[in-house]
Amino acid sequence: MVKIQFGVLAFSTASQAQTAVHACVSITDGATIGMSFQVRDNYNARIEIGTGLNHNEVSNSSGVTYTANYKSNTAGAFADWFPIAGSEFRVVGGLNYNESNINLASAEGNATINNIPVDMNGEYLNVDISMPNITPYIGI
Amino acid sequence: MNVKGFGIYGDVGFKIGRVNIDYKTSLVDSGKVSQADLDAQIEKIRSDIGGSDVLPTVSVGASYIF
Repeated sequence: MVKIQFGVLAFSTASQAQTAVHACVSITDGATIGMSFQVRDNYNARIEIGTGLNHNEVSNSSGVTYTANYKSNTAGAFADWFPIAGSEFRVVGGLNYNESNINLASAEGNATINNIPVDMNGEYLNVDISMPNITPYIGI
Repeated sequence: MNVKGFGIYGDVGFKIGRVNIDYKTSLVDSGKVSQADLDAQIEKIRSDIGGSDVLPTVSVGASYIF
């Protein structure tokens, strides 16, 4: 993950006047579908569900080789605010429900833990990395 | 604006929340690694995944306006 800052670029044709549906691909949530509705002149309400990231791979993290399983299921409810009349630019706020985690199961062999060589044969280091179930969302 | 029909859809933003990291290991009990070294290793993992409280998201797709 990387830190990002607010930007001012946005594009969407699901703008502020009608009901719209959308389907998209997200780098974090996999395949996502959603629907938005106009609730006031410059405000839309939007709901989404996303799923699809579920795969395994062997990876090395900080000196330890792991079998990694990535899984992500999400749902979200958002408010889209179109601050500039006639513009597609929007500001988004909302909440996500997440079932997103990475499970790392150490492999046997040699590893380095905090710069110390370690024989992992007969040992295990299993790590679960997860997002909180509920996360605020800010976007454009 | 607001043309009915198909269009492109994009969303850029971030989820806010601290990543949870839990672990289970035999390494401390077996004496191969101290708890302090293990704690340092877990912090390295946290750093590897960004060490941040935000998860950026980028979505691109298609929309249909009724």
